Formats: sequence, C-alpha cells, structure tokens
Amino acid sequence: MLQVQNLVKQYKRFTAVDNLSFTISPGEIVGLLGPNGAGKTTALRCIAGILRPTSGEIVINGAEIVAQPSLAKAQLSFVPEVPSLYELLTVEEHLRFVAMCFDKLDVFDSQASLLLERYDLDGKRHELVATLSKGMRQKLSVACALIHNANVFLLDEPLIGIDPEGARELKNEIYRVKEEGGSVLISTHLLDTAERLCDRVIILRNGRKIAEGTLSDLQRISGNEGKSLEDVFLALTSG
Amino acid sequence: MKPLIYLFVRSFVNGLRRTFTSPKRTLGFIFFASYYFFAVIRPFGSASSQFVNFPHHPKLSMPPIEVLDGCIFGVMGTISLFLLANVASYKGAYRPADVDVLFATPVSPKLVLVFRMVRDYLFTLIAPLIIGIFAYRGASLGLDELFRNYPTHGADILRLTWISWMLLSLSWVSISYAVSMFVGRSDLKSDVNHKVINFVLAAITLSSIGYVAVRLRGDLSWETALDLSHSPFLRVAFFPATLATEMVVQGVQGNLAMALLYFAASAGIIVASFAAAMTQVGWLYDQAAAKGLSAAAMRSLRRSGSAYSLMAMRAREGKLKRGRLSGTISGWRLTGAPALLWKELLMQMRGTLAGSTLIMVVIAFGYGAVAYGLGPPSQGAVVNVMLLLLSGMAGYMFALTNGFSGFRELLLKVDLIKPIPISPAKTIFWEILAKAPIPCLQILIGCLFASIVSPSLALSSAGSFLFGVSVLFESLGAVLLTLMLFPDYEDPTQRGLSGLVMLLAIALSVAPGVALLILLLVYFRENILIATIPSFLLSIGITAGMAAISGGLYMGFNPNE
Repeated sequence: MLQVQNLVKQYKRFTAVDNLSFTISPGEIVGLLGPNGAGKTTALRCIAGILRPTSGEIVINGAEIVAQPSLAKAQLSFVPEVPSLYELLTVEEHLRFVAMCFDKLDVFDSQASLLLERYDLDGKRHELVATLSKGMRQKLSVACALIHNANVFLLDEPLIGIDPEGARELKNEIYRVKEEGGSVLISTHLLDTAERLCDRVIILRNGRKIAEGTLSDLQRISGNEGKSLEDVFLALTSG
Repeated sequence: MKPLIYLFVRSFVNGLRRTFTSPKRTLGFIFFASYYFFAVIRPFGSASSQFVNFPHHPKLSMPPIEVLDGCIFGVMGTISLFLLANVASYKGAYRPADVDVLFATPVSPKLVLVFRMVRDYLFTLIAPLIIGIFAYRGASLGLDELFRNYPTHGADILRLTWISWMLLSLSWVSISYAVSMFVGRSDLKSDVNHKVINFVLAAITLSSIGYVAVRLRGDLSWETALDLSHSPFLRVAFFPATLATEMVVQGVQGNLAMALLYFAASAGIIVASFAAAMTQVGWLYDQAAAKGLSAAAMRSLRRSGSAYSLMAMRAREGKLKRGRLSGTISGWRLTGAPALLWKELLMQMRGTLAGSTLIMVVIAFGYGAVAYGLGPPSQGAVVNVMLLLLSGMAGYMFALTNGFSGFRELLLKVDLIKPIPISPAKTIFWEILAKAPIPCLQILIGCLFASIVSPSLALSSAGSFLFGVSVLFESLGAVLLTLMLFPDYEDPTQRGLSGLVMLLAIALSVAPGVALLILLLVYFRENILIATIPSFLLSIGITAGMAAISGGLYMGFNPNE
C-alpha cells in the first residue's frame, strides 16, 4: 500500500510538486497523468526516495521513505523513463548488482533466468549494457525492477521504446502484480493504455492534482459523459 | 558495501577487457599506458637514480628553521588557496545510472557517501604515492645530503612533509564534502547558506591575495616573503596548511610530542569534516539527482567534445544570451549546401563570439607589437618571419578550436545532416569552408593592424595573411581526417591517440607548403606576398585531397559502430 500525504517538492523558489495526496491500495493500478512539466517524474522520484520531499509524508506499507528509507525501498521498485544503466556491467551482472542491493542473492539464480527469458534478454546475458539498444535497456530496467519481488511499483513511461511483445509482457506483469496484491503507480502519456490498464487516474497540472478518480468519476467532473480518457484529459488540462 | 565494491570491480574489469576488443582500442590503450609510463613513472624513477649516482652533491649548510618553516607553509598555503576557491562547488561525481538504479535501492546513502569519500581520498593520494614510490630513495638521499647538519635527517624531513601533504589533501577533501553538501541542498535555507559561504570564501581568497600583493609591493624581498609566511592572518586563514607545516617543523626540531599533536589536530579536522558531511547525508541522493545529473550531462558532453551542445546547455540555464550579430546572420537566406555555412556561422556566433573577439584583440595587439617593435627600418627580414609565424600559429590554433568543435558536431549529428539531400563530398567541402570565415577575419584584422602600425609592411602583411589562411585550411583538413579515423572520442585511450595523430597529421599537411615557402623566400626575400601565393595554392590542393578522403569516410560513417 502506498500513501502520499501533502507532498511538496521545491527546487529553491520553484515548486515542482504542490501538496499532492493520494493512496494506492493493494491490488490497485493507478495512472499518473499530466502534460509535460506537470511534476509527474518529480513526484515519482520523491516516492522512490531519490529526491527528498520538501514537506509531506510518503508511506510504503507502513514505512516512511525519509524516516525509514531502507525499509520502505525494500518493498519498492522503480522503472525510470529513460533508464540510465551501468554501461560497463553485463546484463547478468547488472541484475546481480540490483539483487545484491536488495539483499536478494538467494533467489537471484532462479529469478534472473526467468526474467531474462521472459524479456528476451537471455541471448544478451553476457553482453555489456553499453551494447544494448534502447528497447533492450528498457527491458533490462524492467527486469531489474522485478528481481526482488517488490509490492509497490513505480513506473515512469514504462512502455516507451519497448517492442509490442515486450509491452504485452510488461502489461501482463503489471496485471500479475495486481493479482498478487501489489500496488502500481504508472506515469504515462499513452492515454488509451492508461484507460485500459488503470483502475483510477490522477491528473497533475503545474505540480498540483487537478482531478482523481475512475474514468466515470472524471467524465462526471469534466462534464464529458461517455467520452474517452483522452477527451476527459484534454478538457481538464486545457485552459 | 558489497554491492558497491562489486560494481566498482566489475566495471573496472569489464572496461579493461573491452580495451582489447578492437585493434584501435588496444592501440589507444598502449599509447595511454606508454604515455603515463614515460611521462610520469620513468622520469621520477630515473631522476631518483640519477640523484643517487650524482658524483658531486652540493654541500649546503643548514638553513634556519624559519626558512624551512616559511618554505613549507608557502607551498602548503598556495595549494590550500587553490583548493579553498573550489571548496563550495558540487563534489558528488555521480552517474545518471547511480540515480536511476542505485539510489532507488535500500543501499544506505551513508554507505554510498563513505565509499565515495574513500575513493576520493585514494585518488587524492595517488600523486604523493607515485612520487613516494618512485622518487623517495633518491630524494631522501639528496635531502640527507643537503640538510646533513640538522639534528634530524633530511629523509625525516621528506617523510614528515610527505605525511603532512597527505593529511592536508585529505583535510581539503573532507572540508570540501562537508561544505559543498551543506550549501548544495535544494531548500531555500541552503540558498542563503550558499551565498554566505561564497562570500566568506571570496573574502578570504581576495583578502589573502591582496594582503600578500600589498606587502610585496611595498618591499619585494626575500625577507618580506619570509615574514609573510609567518603572518598570523595567513596562518589562521589557511589553518590546515599551518597544522601541516608545524607538524614538519616540530618533527625536524626533534619535538616529537608537538609533531604528534599537530598530526592529531590535522586528523581531527579530517574526522570532524567527515562527520559534518555525514550530517548532510539525507540530502545526498537529492543533490545527486538534482545537480549531479546536470553535472554528469556536462561532463559527458565535454568528454564527447560536443562544444556546441555544452553551450546550448549553458544557454538553457540562462548563462548565455542571444547576440545581435547572430540575429543578423539568422536572417540570411542561403539554400542548398551553403546552408551548412549559414548553420556553422550562426553556431559560432552564438557559441564562441565572446572568446573569438577576445582572441582577435590579443592577435591584433600581437601583430601591432611585432610591426611596431621589429618593423623597418630596423630589421626587415626578421619582421617578415615573425609575421609569418604569427599568422601560421593563428591559423593552426583556430583550426584546432573551431575545427575540432565543429567537426565533432558534424560527426555527432550524422542523423541530422546525412538525410539532407547534399552529397557527402559537398557536405565535407562546405563544412571545411564554413569553419574558415571567422578565423580568416581574425587573421585579416591582425594583418591590417600590422599594416596600420607600419604601412611599409602592407605587402608582407598580405603575404602573412595568405600563409595564415593556408595553414588554417591544411590544419582543418587534417583535424577532420583524424576525427574521421578516430571518432570514438569518448574513450580516453582513443582521445589520447587521436590527439597525437592529429598533431602529426597537421604537421605533415602543413610541411610541404612551408617547405615551398622557405624555398621561394630564398629568391623573393623582400616580397613574401609573391612567395606565399604558390604555397597557398598548394595548401588548397592538399586540403582538397584530405577533404576527398574524409568525404569517402563520411559516406560510410556510422556513429553506432
């Protein structure tokens, strides 16, 4: 379960995220939507414990990210938008490194083989990350996020750059996490995917939450009954 | 700590292995290793052995302890002054992968900071260690001989100075981490702290330099310098240097207890700064993500030689403003291949105009000084040679600066340029031509300045201009050809090799023109304009030849290979 309470992130005088609050229950997939520069990535990075919130509270299954970072992060997986990976590690070494960081070497062998096969990285197991294509890097980043059996997933534009087969696999993975009681927060610009995948969506603009709810909630709020998420999104974020 | 050590070791081993995956990389590595062996390790080793075998050691009597104290503080204080100026700048050289992968894991930021600081300590110690390993024996014997009348052996002075130097380095690394982490946080309070610390640092630096300058200006003598080295103001302002100096001085005098006390005080600074840095650890990831990524992007651009992208980044941060001249060029309507010229001029105007103007002024003064100081009627032939040398140097320098950044950009932006319907040969021709107008103008202004200062030098200046342009074009051709042959500039081993080959290629391409010029100057001693015309034509031919080869290479160039 992920609880975000009054999250504020300021860079000097600029407020990137302004008083954001929401909760994601176990077994729920929530989409984080918003135009470019709305503060989605900053919010995700705060939740992931990479950026320090200026104020507010982020609790992951009972552990607060600033007060108990190790405990909170142990239950969390983060897939960045354009993953920067360690170029001079091989694919397998990269996975092993992440498993070491999460203290999950005991399940590494079985998990790694499974993930490498599932994401079509088996043949690249001993190749340096530097030699991977953009899509392959994205797949490796996803595999790294899955190596330690987290139950809160933060995915920043996870489907960009992945081939259709990989995208299908990732969507199945997200459904699998949901079925197993995990909480998923996805930031995306692919509104049709968000519409199909997410139970609820949160819409940000200029760092502030302007709407939250299921598609029918948002249709009602925006006065666009029966319209698609795209129409609702544009109605809420324009002007 | 295990994952961090694993990451470090595997990256190092894989990097080393990758070096031997292609002949170019292997050659680059051999060059890189040889350079360090011959430039760093061998000189120290041979110097020490030469010193040991030197038959007649100079026999100096013991210098007073105040002199030794002053000299050591002078060196330590100067090092401290440079390090002090940089103390508040961001220190965490974190990679984007650290932010995306490592920081999202439960690995404690404390561990990451300790690992990083220990790594920085080790890097800091490399220089004293190399010197210690390779030059210790010779230097200690030499110092023993020089300071043989001291109660302590010269070797002990060396040993103590070496230890105090290491302590001083470690103190500054620790202080830098503590200060930069304290002022680098993203909250508003830290903004004020940053301003206050910067003000204090600037005040200490400027007042120290000003104080030394005023005292020396009043009486420029050895006594004043010695007196300055004992000034309470400087001793307090650069207290880590004072502690390091006193440790040596007390040790030399046989006051072991005092030496140990100063050692403990230096160690105390290191521990206290380390602890102070640790109090800021909660902000470590935040700082690395906010500042480190931009610093890493800048480093990566610098490594790849992408000067224009660097400027674009500075412009995005509001550090570069749009100029009026670039606005005028922006309005030009050039189509087809000449558009490449327009693009290049615009980029040079926006990127390097301030630097170019400064260089132009310096060059104009150089030409003026040569024309005024050596001009007729005093020494006609000498001034001709000097003008030629000036223009040749200017051409070479401009080719290296403008050509390098411009051609790197050409190779980095292959995906943008290649799809344009212009043949590779034409692209290369116009790209070389596009690098020339501003340097040509700079050389021309210098030559005109020389003619104004000494009108009788007008023809010589014209000849010197032609020679400068010849060297410029030949060097541009050589720079491009080298970059085409060694495009993997981000690899440090390739970079070293490419730099060496580039210098050789420039020398080889310029040599025929220079030889022809020297030959013709024998006949046309007084008229260098006539002597430079055939050399200029030859240079155009040589440049065209190199451009043709580069065009062929560009046609098959794939940046992903």
